[in-house]
Amino acid sequence: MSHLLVLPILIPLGTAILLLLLRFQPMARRIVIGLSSLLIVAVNISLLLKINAEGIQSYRTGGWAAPYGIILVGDLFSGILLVLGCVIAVCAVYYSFAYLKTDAQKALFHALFFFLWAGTNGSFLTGDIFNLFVMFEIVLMSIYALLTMLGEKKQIEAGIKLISMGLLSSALFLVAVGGIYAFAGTLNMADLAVKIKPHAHHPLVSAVAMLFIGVFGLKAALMPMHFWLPDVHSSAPTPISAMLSGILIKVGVYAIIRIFCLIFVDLQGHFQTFILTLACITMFVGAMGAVAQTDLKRVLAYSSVSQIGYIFMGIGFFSVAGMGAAIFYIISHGIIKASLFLAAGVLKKMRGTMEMSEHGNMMKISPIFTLFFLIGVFSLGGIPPSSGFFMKFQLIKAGLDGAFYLPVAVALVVSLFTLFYLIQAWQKICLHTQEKAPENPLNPHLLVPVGVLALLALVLGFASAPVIDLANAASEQLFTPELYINAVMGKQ
Amino acid sequence: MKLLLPLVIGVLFASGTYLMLQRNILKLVLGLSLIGHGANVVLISSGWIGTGQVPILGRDESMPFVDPIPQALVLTAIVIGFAALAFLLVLSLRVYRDLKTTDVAEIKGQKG
Amino acid sequence: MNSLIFKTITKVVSPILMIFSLYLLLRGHQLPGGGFIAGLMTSAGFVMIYLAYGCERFDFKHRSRVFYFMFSGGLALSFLTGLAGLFVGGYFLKSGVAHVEMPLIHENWEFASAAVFDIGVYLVVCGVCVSLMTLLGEEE
Repeated sequence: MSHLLVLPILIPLGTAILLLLLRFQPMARRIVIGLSSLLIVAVNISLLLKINAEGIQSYRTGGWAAPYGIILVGDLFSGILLVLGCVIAVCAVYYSFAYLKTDAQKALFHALFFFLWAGTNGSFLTGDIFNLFVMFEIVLMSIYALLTMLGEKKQIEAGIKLISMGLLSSALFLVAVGGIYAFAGTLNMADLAVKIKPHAHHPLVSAVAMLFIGVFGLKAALMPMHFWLPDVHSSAPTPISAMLSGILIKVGVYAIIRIFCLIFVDLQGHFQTFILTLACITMFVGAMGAVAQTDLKRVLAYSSVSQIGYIFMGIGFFSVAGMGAAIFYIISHGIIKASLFLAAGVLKKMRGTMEMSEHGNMMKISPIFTLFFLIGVFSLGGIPPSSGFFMKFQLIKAGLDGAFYLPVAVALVVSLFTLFYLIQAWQKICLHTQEKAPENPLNPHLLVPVGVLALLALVLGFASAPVIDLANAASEQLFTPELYINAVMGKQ
Repeated sequence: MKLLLPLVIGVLFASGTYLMLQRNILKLVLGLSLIGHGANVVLISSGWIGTGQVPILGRDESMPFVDPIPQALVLTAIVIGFAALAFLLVLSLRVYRDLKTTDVAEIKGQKG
Repeated sequence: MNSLIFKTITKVVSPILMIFSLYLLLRGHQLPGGGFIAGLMTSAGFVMIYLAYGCERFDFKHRSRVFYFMFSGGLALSFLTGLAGLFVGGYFLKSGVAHVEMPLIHENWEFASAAVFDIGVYLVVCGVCVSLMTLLGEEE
């Protein structure tokens, strides 16, 4: 049995512990971080290739067989998210070296960051509903500390909001797990799928499904539960903002897709209108919020809310094409939004504020920055040939194929607003004249990850066909839950 | 007992919600902890069967066992809740030292 | 807190607490007990000392590094137990049991790898709780 499946959790976890022990050796930490980041990227990519070649993989931790032990499962969808996560995380780690000032901060930051990474990878790989809860908590706990470690007032306030949200959602998660365990007597997701299938329309099952939408929607910032996101994403240290918007809100999305394509397959039609309605409202509310902001990071944070609405729209179609479009949207939005957040951090380093009226003249100060920022703006706005165009195009095509005209109309209108607030922000920052000179010069090290992610977004646009094919294959796999169930329960 | 557990859960959730709606940040912390306890009781009750005996260590083979899994789950959940609450308490203490207030509305007012 | 009664009780009770916590840690494999409660109980002993004598007597502040390495070392210990399972048993977190005939006393003792994991948990809980208490009690 291959251990490849457990390595994406093990390596970051081991690295985090090693970093804790090496707290007082900055040079050694640097080497460990570099090596293990590269190792994780290699492992994640080879895992994706292996899944793509050989089908769904499963791993028994502790050697316990399927319904009893915790099973790790890797299908194409989780493989894709693992690779996306490691691309963003590597950029964020590189960025953090130039972004953080003192060595004490770096020691704490990197140890927590690797715990966060382990938790994220774990949530994508686990095949056990309670283990998902534990992985979520690892993620949340690291985020609590990473968000508040610099100790600015805004961050503490956002921290209180985030922890209250986190505690509430874990309580609801536990209630949902209790409900489903009392009903089916198992926690393994594949086993749950088998046991729930004959009783899909039992009221308790519907209630638990609704609770899960609440819990994961809270994490993914679905409309009525999006209140915490703008504060948290805008006040977090910039590399963490990039991680949060790039990959961590997608953990909630991932969980919703996983349970609705595995456990509550028969309830898809039941919840379709509900999810689509929420998605449309989320898109609209997020875009309206973004238009009204004057702080660049808050614009981006509200835009994340709006984009989550698009992803949920793709999920809400409950068709292979729609889900494929949603998966491609997740990939593309993750890269673009991470790039934009990192770009915002560059500005913050220069002038110490995120207010757009305080900025300007970036065209003259750094044309390269302007270009990278423009790529991000055009991609998120959906202008061809960037990946952003293809993500929206796929989504809308899937919507029209399924005859969902109203959501498609809302999506099109909202994408105009998206373009409006992004171009406006770009124009204020890059073109407007600003008398005040920046306090600090631009740090070229900070520009590297911004550029890498922006170019990646561009490449994803020019070579979108293979990625879209991969996303569609992942979506097809999601809609044949038998494959997943067989991979977990079958070969013991 | 069959009626007692739902009642306890209801009271815990209701009082937790009531406390969370107060403006004092310490009451928010207490409310969240009560809701967490309520959730733990829900989880415990999912494996509870009226007259079952202690799992694994029970001596009498003919008697039914209580399901041990929810108990293990609750232990994990308690540990996690404990850590998160400790963190929230530290943050509230920090807020109190910085801003000299425990009123949530005032904390929100003093941005920057 | 400056109470003579509390100080005197602390002198007697906190060593008992800590030794009893070790007993709880070791019996935890088969009976109720284990790393987490044992760790909490040990840190309860430290909390009593802290409350009774303040942070000067035991000098918690200067020992913060000890507790730091206590919890990171405990984490490493637990992690390595899991890794050992991977290399020896073939699965991550695979646990194993060895029965060893002890010399001199001629009893068959059971050594489980899960117990090592539990000792790691004990160190983490104890280190974290004491560090947390020191941080919370700072600058009063």
